[in-house]
Formats: sequence, structure tokens, C-alpha cells
Amino acid sequence: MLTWVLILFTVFSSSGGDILCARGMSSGRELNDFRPSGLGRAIRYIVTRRMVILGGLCYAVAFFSLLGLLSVAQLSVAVPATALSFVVDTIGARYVLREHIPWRRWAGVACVTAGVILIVRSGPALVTARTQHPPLHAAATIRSGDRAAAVVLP
Amino acid sequence: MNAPRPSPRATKTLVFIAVAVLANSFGNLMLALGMNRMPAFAHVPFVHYLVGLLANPFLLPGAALSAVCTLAQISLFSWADLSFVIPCTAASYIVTTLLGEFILGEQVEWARWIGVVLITFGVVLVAKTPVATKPHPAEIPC
Repeated sequence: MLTWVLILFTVFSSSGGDILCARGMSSGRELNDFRPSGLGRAIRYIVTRRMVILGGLCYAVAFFSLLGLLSVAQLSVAVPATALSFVVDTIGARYVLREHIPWRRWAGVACVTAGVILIVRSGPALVTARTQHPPLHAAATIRSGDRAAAVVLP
Repeated sequence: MNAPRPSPRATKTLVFIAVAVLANSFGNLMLALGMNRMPAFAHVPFVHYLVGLLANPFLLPGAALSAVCTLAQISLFSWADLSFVIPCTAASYIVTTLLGEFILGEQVEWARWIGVVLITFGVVLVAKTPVATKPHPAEIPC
């Protein structure tokens, strides 16, 4: 039960972060100047947008929620389940951000989600695992905020 | 017959997705290598552990690459759909698997390869859709 609560909490806070950041950025100007001189301005613009700050807080919540999840659940259940955030992101994009999602994109999201589940459930990538402190180690390599790739540990 | 030139926005999108994916994959590789050199958290005093984290040659660059990935992804949101960006950045799982197989010499099991094929197929499908499906606020006539 606690596992599922934490899975849902992780997924929704991670997707909430994505949706808030996307709302914050899409309601402002389109970034165009990425020369070294403009880069600082672009970063300042990003980190001072209110919605993006809220989104960042959601990412932080998702990270600690994932830490909690990894301490109570088996990795082979917990990590694949967080791939649900691809689906939640897409539903949020459709109904919160009012994006029009063509069928190809739905199909693509379904393939990506299935692929991610297959990849993360099948054990270690990138590291020969260190098992002394699995949650901390795994959380350092799985950034739930943007579903980073490496999954560690047996 | 020349192929139509990609629009500046399409080129920018491709570059930013590539930056996000590569920064994510290599950032994770460095974080994973760095954490692999750390002592067990429970076995050393907290301050030693903290010093170890900061002195580790892989962890700070790994964290910096993760920050680059996040900034690239958030920048993409200023012109591209969330439902376009998120599935495309999943290509980092493909790069990570290839890094594991060819750089670290891990045994990558068949289920993971099927996952790679599925993600590739999914990303191609999403990439065939328009980058943005609603007009940017700046383009909406007042």
C-alpha cells in the first residue's frame, strides 16, 4: 500500500514539475539567443519564472519521494512504475496545457513507456552495482525529475 | 530535387534534444562511476562522506551535466510541446544502454535490447509530429 502511494506521489510530482515548467516557459517568450553573451540572460530568465520555480520544487519533492520509495519497495517494481510519468505527462499536456496530440504521438508515447519499462526492469546499466546503500546510490543515478536513464543495482 | 530545408525551429529543437539526451546519458555515466567509488554510506562518518562526494572527480561534472540537461529541456518548453519533448528525451535510455554495452562492457540482456528498439520506434513516431501544436502566445494576434 505504502509502495503504491509513494509510486503515485513520485509520478505525479515528477509530471507536475514537467507540466509547471512547460506552462511557465510556453506562456513567455521563445528562447532564441544562445550565444555565450545571451546564455546567462536565458538562464536568468528560466530560473526567475514563477511556474518554473514551482516546477523545480516539484522535481525536488519527486526526488525525495523516489528516495522514500526505494527504501520501501523492490527496485524491480518501483523503478519501472515511475515510467508511468510519461503517460501522466502526456495526459497533462492534453488536458492541462491544451496541446493537440496526434495519434502518432500517443502511439510513440506508448512505445516509449513500454520500452522504458523493459529497460529499467532488466537490471543494472552502467554500473557494476554497489549494494551497501541501494536507495541513495540508485537515487543518485535515477533522476526522477526527468526520468534519467541509468538504473543501478541488482 | 532538393529536400526542403529544415526550419530554424526544427534545427534548434534537434540540437536541444541532442544536448539534453547526451548530457543526461553522460551525466548519469559520471554519477554512476562516481558513486561506485564512494564508501558505503553507513560505514563512514557523515562529514567524511560529504567530503568524499565533493572530492570525487566524477560527481561534480556529472551533476553539472545533469543541470545542462535540465536547462536544455526547460528551454525546449519555450517553443515545443511538452508531449513532444518528454518522449524524445527518452532517447537517453538508448544512449545509456549503448554506453553500458560498448564502453563498460556490460552484458546487456535481450529484454533491454527490445526496450531499445521500442523506444527508438516511439521516438521516431513522436518526431514525425509537429514540434508545437498550438500557436505561441507571441504569434497570437491581439
